[in-house]
Amino acid sequence: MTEVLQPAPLLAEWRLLGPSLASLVARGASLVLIGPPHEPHLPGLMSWGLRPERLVWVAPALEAQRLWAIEQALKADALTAVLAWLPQARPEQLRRLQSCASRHAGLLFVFRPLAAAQTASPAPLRLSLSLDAQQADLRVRVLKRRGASLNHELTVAVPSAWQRLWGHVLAPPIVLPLVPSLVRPASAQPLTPLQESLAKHGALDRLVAG
Amino acid sequence: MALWIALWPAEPGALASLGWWALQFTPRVTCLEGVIALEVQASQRLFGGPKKLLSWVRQGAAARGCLGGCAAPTAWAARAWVAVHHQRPSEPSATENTMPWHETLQPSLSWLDALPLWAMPEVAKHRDTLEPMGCAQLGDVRRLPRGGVSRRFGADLLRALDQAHGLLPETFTWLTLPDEFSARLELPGRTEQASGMLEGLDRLLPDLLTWLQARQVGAMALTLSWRHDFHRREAGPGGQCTVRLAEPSRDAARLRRLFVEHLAHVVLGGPVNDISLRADQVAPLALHSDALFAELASLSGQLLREGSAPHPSGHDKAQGAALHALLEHLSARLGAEQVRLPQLVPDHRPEHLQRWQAWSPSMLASSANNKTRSQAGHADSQQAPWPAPTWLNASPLPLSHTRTAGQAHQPLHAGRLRLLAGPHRIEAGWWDHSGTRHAPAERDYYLALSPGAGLLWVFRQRPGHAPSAPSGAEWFLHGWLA
Repeated sequence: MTEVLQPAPLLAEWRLLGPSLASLVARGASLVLIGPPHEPHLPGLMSWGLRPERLVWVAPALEAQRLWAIEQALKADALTAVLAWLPQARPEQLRRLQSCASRHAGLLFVFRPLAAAQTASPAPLRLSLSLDAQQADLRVRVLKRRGASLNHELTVAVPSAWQRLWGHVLAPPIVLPLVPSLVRPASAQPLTPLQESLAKHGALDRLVAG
Repeated sequence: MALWIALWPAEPGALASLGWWALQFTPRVTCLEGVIALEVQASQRLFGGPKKLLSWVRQGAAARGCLGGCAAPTAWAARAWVAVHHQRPSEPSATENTMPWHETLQPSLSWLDALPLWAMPEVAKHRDTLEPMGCAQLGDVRRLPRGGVSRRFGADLLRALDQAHGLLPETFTWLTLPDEFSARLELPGRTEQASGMLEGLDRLLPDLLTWLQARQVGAMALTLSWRHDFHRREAGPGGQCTVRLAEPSRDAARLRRLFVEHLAHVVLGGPVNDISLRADQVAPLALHSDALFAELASLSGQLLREGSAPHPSGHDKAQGAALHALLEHLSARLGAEQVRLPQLVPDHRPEHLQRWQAWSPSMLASSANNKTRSQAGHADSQQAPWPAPTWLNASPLPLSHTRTAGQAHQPLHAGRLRLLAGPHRIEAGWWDHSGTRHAPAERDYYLALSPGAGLLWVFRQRPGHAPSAPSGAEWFLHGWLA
């Protein structure tokens, strides 16, 4: 069970999870989205390499039903990666999920608002995501991990898939005819040595492993 | 010399089900006055010899709660022994797991003579006359002069004794498996709650499973119906509840779980004391090896490790079956509309490009076709020159915008939006007049960056081309690129 905290309900989850979920899905797992705040859009997900026939969207009306659905998904024999949005989950409910998830072969990601960072959580790994001002880099803060705590922020350069797909679209800054000042060219900020070393995907995995 | 096995069922109602179960050993199964008798002479070699076969039957029967069993050269002899030891347990301290069992592979039937008179129904009929004559055991009756016995008690008694000793041929009507399964059960008491019927269902399900197993099929649709004991005017004579499965199954836990979910929505019109279970639809079941789940577990362990080899397609199938079992359970509890599977539709408008369909049992069959189609779509999207949002706003959210003199409108959403890419013009749907949601779309899409909300997928309604929103908004938020 991994808890992901974001300031907005939908911010950068696919950027963080996309590559690992894609590799899991390619090996036969299914992706179960439980209670996302909006409709998943296939073309965008497919650009992450997630196959549509492997996707299931479960939209229970109540939080209690969401918890129940997550639990059933974890108990099932099917190999799944469960992504669940639980804005109001209580710690004891999460503890129950955590104990189910520890027996589950797949993965469980729980998305919660950033405000939940203040409360304790049974999740062994808690991450908070934010985007930097240029929105090009994904900032990951490890709130909790197995091992010593990690107080500094990690900056992950936008995962390669993102740039590979859209780099050519982004290349020239768009200038609307009437609004010359609307778009500024992105200024390249030099990375600190630590950030540089983390820029490669996979560095995060090692840090999280403690 | 034949080899017969007689089995005494745990309760009279379980007789048929025990017989169906016994059909796996031999086609020659018959009912003998409350006992199932099976003739396994011809099956010995197939099951690896008489000892092995008997231990199979014995273990299986004990697991099904049989009260006693006997292997003997004739059916009536076996039945006689079972009848005696069932009605008068030889060891009263015996636990339920160890059923009395008698087996002798010798053709000798000397033990039969030592059984009491009531061991055979034909003899027991004349017990009141025979006992005062000094006959306490079957052997005593056999030693009486045959002519006199025949005149005094009729030919049936002697024939029964001779048949039991294998001196006369026995004739039987063999048990056959019914084509359709339908079982009725009277509940021990009346229940007002739908969940109270589960107890009865638990007793019917094993019978169903035995039947399914004997026919080598799995259930696709089951109906549980019930009758009201006495009904109020508004409540009918009873009701029923049908459970449909995505794929044939004979997994008792799964069937029960589905009934639990379905019965949770049922409100009984009156007290119920009579239920029946019917298999509406069955389909041949693809058999898996017993090691299926062991393989699965080791496979998932492998998957989580880096660099494992791609798995064979057999596991893919098992995975699909497990997933559908999960979805079946979820949709039974949450409602079919809440569990959705995607389908790609060729259209340029983002909101019509995909369709989320409610999960239904028939989807498993059609998933093979979807696969090829979606893979084709997959290839297309990989080459798509334009980024697509990962989340879509079902109804585009109108955005307010700045109104600075001399400058163009700048849309707002958690701060001022910075347009990164665009416009990407979509002009489609003019052929579609089926409803308001299907209005023609004439939009310029932009990739926009919000300081607070990340990357957004916004569009601008082309002025003068399409009916604008009531608020007069020009900019709409249509998706997120998370």
